[in-house]
Amino acid sequence: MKCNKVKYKLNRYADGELDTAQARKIEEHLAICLECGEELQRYRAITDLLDGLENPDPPESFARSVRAEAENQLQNAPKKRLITFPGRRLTPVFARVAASVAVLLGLGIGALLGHGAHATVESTYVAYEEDYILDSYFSNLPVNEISNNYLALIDYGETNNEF
Amino acid sequence: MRESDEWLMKKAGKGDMDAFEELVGRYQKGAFNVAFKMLSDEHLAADLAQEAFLRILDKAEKYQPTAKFSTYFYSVLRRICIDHYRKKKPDSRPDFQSNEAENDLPADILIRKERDKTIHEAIFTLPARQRMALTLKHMQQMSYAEIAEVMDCSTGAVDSLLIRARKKLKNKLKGKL
Repeated sequence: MKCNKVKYKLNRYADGELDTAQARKIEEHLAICLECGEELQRYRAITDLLDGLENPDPPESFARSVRAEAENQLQNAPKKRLITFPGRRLTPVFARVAASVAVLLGLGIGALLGHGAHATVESTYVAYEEDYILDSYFSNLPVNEISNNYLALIDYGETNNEF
Repeated sequence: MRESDEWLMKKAGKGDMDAFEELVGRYQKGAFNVAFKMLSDEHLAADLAQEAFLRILDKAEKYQPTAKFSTYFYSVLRRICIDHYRKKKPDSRPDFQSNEAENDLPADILIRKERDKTIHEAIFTLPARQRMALTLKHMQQMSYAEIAEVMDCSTGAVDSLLIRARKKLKNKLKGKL
């Protein structure tokens, strides 16, 4: 194996990320090449430093305070709904009856109001269409559109400035 | 017998708060330090670490151990840190104030502390993604594949981030240690 190939893989080798066969090839090269050996030494100097770094402890009783906060949130959480979707949990008989009555009532009221439904359906359609236009606004822009540069900048920011 | 993280998580999902506290105990230092390295503020790091634990508890009931718990947890923590970062970019550097009481420490410990402080300061000058990769590698001893999962990138990208981070650190620390 040549020096440039070894140097390319030295990072992974030092981190134990190479498979046995590849690691053996690197070791064979390191046994005869002083330059790559020194490169590895320099490399290990920095990784050893980082591995031995003492890191600060979290505040005392952190685990207990997280537990206390969790219990507090659980106590103050809104009660779970009684009605769940079929197949997930059995619901009390009262809740099932109440749900059936609500559905029947809804159907009845819907049937009564059905005559004037034209305008509502039309406006709903328009609303959906507006949502669709908004959703697709950025995704369907031509390649040279200036807004695409804005999107590219966001991507760049996410890649380079955030973790 | 030491129960696995995944098992503790399942128990926490069933309301076992002792299991949850055990899980927090296991990951508190890592969570705190990862958040601290990202946001360079100890109080904020503690808050966000707590938020990550509360969030996983909230999802614990539906938790499926398809991946290692550690990668799942650090992914959640990373997401929380990103959300915070987007709202308010952190001040560039943490303030490492020396503690008066530290002056009474033995010389070798003082030297070590001073050395660690220099290294930490150098780490904080790195770009956020390099800092994150470095922290997960050297603090959490994660493999490239695990880091890639947490950071939502390829193992090649992790390799590249670590190479650049270590190279920069080496240059920054030259002559200082």
